[in-house]
Amino acid sequence: MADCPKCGEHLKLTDWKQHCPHCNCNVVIYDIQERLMKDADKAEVQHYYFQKKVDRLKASFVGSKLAVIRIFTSFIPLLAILVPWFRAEFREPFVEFDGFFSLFSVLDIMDSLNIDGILSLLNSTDGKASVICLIGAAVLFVLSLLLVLVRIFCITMACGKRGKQRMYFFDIALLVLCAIGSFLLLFIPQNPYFDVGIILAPIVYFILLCVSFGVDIAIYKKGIEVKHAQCFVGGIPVEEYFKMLEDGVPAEEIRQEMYRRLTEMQLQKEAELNKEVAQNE
Amino acid sequence: MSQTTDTIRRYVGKKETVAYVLNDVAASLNIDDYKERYIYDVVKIDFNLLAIQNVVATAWDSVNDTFIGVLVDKTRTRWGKFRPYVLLGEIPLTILGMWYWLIPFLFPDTPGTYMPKYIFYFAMSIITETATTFTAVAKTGFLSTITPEPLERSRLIATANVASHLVEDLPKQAFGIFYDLVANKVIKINLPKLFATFGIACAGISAFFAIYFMFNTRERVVQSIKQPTVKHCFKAIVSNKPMLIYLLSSLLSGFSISKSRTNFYIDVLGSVTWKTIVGIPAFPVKFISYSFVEPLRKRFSTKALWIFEDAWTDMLWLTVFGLGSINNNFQKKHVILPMMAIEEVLEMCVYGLRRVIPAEIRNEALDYSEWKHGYRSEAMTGVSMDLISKLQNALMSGVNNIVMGKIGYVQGKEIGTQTDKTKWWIFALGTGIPIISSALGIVPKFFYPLSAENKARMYEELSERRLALTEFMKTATPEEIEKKAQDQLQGKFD
Repeated sequence: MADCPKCGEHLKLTDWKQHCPHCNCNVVIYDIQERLMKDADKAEVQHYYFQKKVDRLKASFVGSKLAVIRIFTSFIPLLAILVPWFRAEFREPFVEFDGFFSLFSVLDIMDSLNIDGILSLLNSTDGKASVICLIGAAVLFVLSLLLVLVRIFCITMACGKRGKQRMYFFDIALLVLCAIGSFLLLFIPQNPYFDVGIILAPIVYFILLCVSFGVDIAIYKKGIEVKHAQCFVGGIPVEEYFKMLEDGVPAEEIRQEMYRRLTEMQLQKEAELNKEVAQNE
Repeated sequence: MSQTTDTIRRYVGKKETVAYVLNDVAASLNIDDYKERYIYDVVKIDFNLLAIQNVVATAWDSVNDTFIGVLVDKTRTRWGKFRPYVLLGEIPLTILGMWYWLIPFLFPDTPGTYMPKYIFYFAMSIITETATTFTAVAKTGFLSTITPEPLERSRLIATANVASHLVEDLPKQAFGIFYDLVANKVIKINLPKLFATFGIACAGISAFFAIYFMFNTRERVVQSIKQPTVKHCFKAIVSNKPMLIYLLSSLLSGFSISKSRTNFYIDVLGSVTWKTIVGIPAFPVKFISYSFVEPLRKRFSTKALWIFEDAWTDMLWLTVFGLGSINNNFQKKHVILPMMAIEEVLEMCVYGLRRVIPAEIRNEALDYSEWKHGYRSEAMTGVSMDLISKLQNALMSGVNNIVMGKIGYVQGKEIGTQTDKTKWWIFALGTGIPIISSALGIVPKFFYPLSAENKARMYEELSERRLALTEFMKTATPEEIEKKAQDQLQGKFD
C-alpha cells in the first residue's frame, strides 16, 4: 500500500508510522474490511480453479470402484521383480552361475562382477551380439520399471484433458518394452559365455501389464464422474458470481449481496450449533 | 452432482500459500545437526571456552526474550507489527550466518584458545542469537495474524507441515553422505570448504524463501489502536485462561522421564535398522494424517481433538508396554516388532493433529486475549510459552541422564549384553514410563475453556468488533479515536 486509503496521498518509505502524515488517519485500520473482502474474493476465485484440479485428482484415485482397483493393478507389476527371472548358466568372464537367476542373485554377485571383462566381450566376434541382447534386455526392463513408476504418478492426471491418451500411451509403451525385452532374452544367439533358458518374470510381468491395461480400458469405457465441490465467493455460488461480473452488476451491489448471503449462512450455522447444544443437554 | 463445501471465507490466495509453505520449509533448510562437529573439529574452539560461551548465551537468551517480546508487542508500523522484524532480522541473520561458516578461513590453523577467533565466534553467536529471537518471535506472532479465519490457519499449518516433512531431512542427509565421502577421502575437498558450501547455500536459500514470504503476505488481524504497556502485556498472559491451561499441560507433560527408543532397538534387539523397518509402514500414514485435520476440525472442537490425540497415543504406548512386559515379549523380535509397527501406524494416524492442534491452541489463545482484553500480545505470549519449556528442558535433560545410571546401564558393554532387568528398564523408558510420568499433562486439557460453542461465539464477537472498529475509524474524530483506544486497552466494548 503506497497511498493513503483516505486522502490518497503518496506514502514514502520513510513514512513508517501507521498514521498518514497528511490526514492522520490510521492507514492500517482504515478500510481494512474492504481490503479483506477483496483479498477473500481473489483467494476464493483462485480456490475454485484449484478445487477443480483437486476434484479431478480425487476422482482419478477414488472416483469409481475401477479407479480404486487401478491403484493396485498399477503397483502389482513391480512385484514381478521378486519372481525368478530366467533359467541361466553363466561362465567366464561372468560370475559362474547355474540356476534360476533373480533379483537376489544380482545382489549376491554384485561385488564380484567383472564389468571390464564383460564389456570386453563387445569387441569379440563370438560374444558381441549375445552381450548386446542381454544388456539390451536389461536396459529395456529397467526402463519399463521406471515407466511403471512414472505411470503411477500420472494417475494423478488421469481425469484430466489428455488423461486417457496419457494412460494408454504408458500402457502400450510398457507392453512393447516388455515384449521386446523378452524377445531379446529368448533369442540370444549361441555363445560360449552364457545360456538363457526358460524366462519366468518377464511373462508374469507381461501378464500383469495386460491386466493393468485392461483395467484402464474398462475405466475409460465406463467413465469416471468427476464430482465438483460447490465453491463460493463471499457466500455466492461461484457460477452465479461469475455471471454477476459478466452482467456488469456494480461492485457495491455484489458486496451487499455477499454480506446478505454470508449473514444467512452464519445464522444457519448458529441455528445448527444451538440445536446440537440443545440435543446434548 | 455438486456437494456443498465450507461457507467460511478464505483470505490467503495461491501465491501467498506457496510463500507461507516456503517460509516453513526455510526453517528446516539447515545443517544444524552438524554444528557441534563443525565447532569441535573444523573451527576448533577450546571446550572450556565453549562452556563459558554456552552459559552466557543461554542466560542472554532467557533475558532478551522478554525485552524483545515487549518491543515487538509495542510496535506499530504501516506494514504491520511483525513484518518489519522478519525483514530486519532475516537480512543480518543471513549475512552473519554466512560469515559463521567462513570462520575457519578467517582464522586458519589457529589453536582452540586463539582469542581473536574466540571473540569473533562469541560476538557472532550473541548477535545471531538476538537476531534469531527477533525473527522467531516476529514470525510466530505473524502466523497468527495472516488470516482471521481459524480453519484457514489450520489448513495453512497442515499444508506447510506436509511440505516441510518432505524436504526437512534432505540437506542433513545430503550433507551426511558428502561428509562420509570427504572423511574417507573419496572426494578430495577439505571439511571447511564442505561446511562453508552447504552452510552458505542453506542460509541463502532459506533467506530467499523467508524474504519472498515477507513480500507476498500481509497481516490481516488488526492490532489495538494504541500500543499496550508492559503491564498490559503481562496481564494478557496471567489472565489468559487458554494459554495458562496450555502452559500447565506442557509443564506437567514436560516432567516425562524417558530415553530414546533407539536405545531399545540397539541394546535389546541388537540393531537400529529395526527402527527404520518398523517405521516404514507408518511413513505414508504420517502424510495422509494431515488430510484428516480439516474434516475433524470442522466436526470436533479443538479441545476434543487435543484430548483425543493425547489419550490415543498414551493408550497405544501403554498397550505396547503392557503386552511387551508379559512373558518377556519385549525381547522376542517376532512379537515386539509387529507390535511396534502396528503401534506406529496407529499413532501416525493422529500425527497431523499432533502438529496442527497445539499450534492452533496457541493461536486461539491469542484471539482469546483480544476478545477478553481488547488487545493482542502475540510476542509476549509466545515468549512466555517458550521460556518455561526452555527452563524445564534444561532440568529434565539432567534428570534423564541420571536415570541411565540408576537402571544399571553399563557403558561400553557389547550390544545386547546388558542384564535382563536393565533391558526391561530400557524398554520401559522408551514406552510406558514416559507416558506414566507425563500422564498429568492431559488433566488441564479437560479445563480448556474454548468449547465449540464458546469458540464460535468468541469468533463471531471478534468479527463484529473488528468490523465495527473499521466503520468507526472512517468517520471518527481524533478525540473519539483517542477515547476508543483507551477503551480498547481497558477491555471496554460497545
